[in-house]
Amino acid sequence: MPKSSRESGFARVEHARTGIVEEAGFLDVDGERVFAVRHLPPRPADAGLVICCPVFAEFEKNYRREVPLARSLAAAGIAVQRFHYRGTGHSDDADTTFDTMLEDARLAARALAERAEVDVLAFMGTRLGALPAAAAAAEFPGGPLALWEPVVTPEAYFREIVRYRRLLDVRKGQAADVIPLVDELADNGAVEVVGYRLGRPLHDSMSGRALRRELGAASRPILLVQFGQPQRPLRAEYRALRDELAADGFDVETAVASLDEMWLFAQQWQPPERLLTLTAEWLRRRLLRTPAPA
Amino acid sequence: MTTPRAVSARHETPMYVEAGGKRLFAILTRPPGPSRDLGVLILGGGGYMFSAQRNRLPVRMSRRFAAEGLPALRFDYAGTGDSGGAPPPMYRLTEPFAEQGEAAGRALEGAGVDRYVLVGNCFGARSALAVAPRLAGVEGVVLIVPPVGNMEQGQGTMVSRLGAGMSLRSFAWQGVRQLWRGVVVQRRFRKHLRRAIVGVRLAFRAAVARITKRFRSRDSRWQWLSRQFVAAVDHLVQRRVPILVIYGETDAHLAHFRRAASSGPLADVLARAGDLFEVRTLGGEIEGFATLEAQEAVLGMIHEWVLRRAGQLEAADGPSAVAAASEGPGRPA
Repeated sequence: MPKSSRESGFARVEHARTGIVEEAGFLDVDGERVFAVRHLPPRPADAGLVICCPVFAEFEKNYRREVPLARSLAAAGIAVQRFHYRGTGHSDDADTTFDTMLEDARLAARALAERAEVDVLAFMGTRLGALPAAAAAAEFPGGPLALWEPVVTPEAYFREIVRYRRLLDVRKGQAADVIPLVDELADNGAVEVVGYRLGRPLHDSMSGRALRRELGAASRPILLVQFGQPQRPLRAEYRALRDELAADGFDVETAVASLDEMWLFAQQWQPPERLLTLTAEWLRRRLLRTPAPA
Repeated sequence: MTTPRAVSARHETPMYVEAGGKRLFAILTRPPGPSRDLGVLILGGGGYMFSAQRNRLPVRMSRRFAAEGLPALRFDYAGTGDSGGAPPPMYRLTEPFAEQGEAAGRALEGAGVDRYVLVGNCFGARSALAVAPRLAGVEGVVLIVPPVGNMEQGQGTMVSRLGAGMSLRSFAWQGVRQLWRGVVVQRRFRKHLRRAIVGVRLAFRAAVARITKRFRSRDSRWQWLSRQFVAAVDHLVQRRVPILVIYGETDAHLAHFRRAASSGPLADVLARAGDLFEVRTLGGEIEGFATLEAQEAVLGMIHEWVLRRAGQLEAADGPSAVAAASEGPGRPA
């Protein structure tokens, strides 16, 4: 059984079997609080990883993929920091924007570096979380970056959201005239998608951004994992990103994990073992420079 | 009470709770001022979501209650969120999470909250009913879209809605119309359309299975009704614990409830319950909280009912107890 204790406002639990320690609490930023969970190795950490989660439904559905990944990495000597952006999850209410997401990622990185006493940091981002992950990683030269089904351009992501909403309307028999997202946001300040509120601050702050630009010029190892049928080739947008990054000197590896895409119809809650294994092995290889255990 | 005060993460305390060998992650939200003598324990729905659930409904609920002086606790079921353990392969209504709910209730009691209302959503509603007999401090139960039968996970939700709310013909026709309008322009959309068609096929099979089952056991009083559900409601009625049940008018579970409540074992219990058992419905569908409107409506309804319950308890305790609760040192500290 794990032993539980609390210190410094963080709840703390130690896993008896693996020896890893988890600490859950809130980090302060600009008078607001960011919920954060640290996964610490049983011995001094060799390196750290900051996980930038997705938002909306994808946040909830991806949650239990990030937790076991963090636990397995902590057991391997890599301290992991997970967090909820302000305006999401257990964190304080706020208008989530690209800037607050990035600021929260930076805060998480600082907190992990201090607590785990690590100099080497990697980042990981899923879906929309790929953008703040990339921007935060750009401030740590050479640090590895793992991306799960990343959003390459927010405009395409928002178009996809609207399309899903249309599909839901059709299912309800409520197909209505198509109002452009920008117009609806301008009129109402937010749009509703499947019970989530997409606010104009998030939309506007993401507009015009692109994953490639957020990555900066300094090259770094990148793992790009596409979710979908494993026999399918890499999608065109990911092929283009990979080629562009490779041309710029980035060391890019790609993989396809057998996983449903996540928005509306996703029924696959359990993480496929391969997704966790390949990501953990890649991070171990890049951060610890030691072979993965057999 | 005075004007509600803003509650934020600053008033929240993460904790780990042991539940029969499973380690659960929980968050306690405390009022910024003195506590009233009633708390809230939130049991989320199944479906592998963590305790913030869709659009942070339990987070908003916790902070809203705390702003009114009511401490609240939400937690991740084993195998979800930041809890330990593995999730069940499937959430079964015959196997609600009584032990986990009890552990969460004990944690609330450990924080000094001796009396509380259980608020459970869907699978969490059935878990709340299973938990209630184990906890003496339960002073009210709110059941959001409780399934009264023991259907499998997914039944009564998306698949059956596809079948019940929309005929195959109308769905296909609307799909054709959308295709015609040129909405389908990308491969990814086509993929989801294929999945929707698979959903319709599943709904068709489920409908056939339902019809077959109906003919097989037409006379069974328990065909649409769980014995556990009836027993738990009966237990609460005997304890004189008020129950609020909330459905959306188009929720599939409401039809099941109405059928079960009209005659038979549940009707007998409800007749004994009288005013203790209150059913409220909202327009549209609230299961899954797929609209902001449904979320706000349910939040408001629960909020009003729980605050009324707090007032009833305080009135029963007498003026001195009310004064002590509102003016004395906040409990929990």
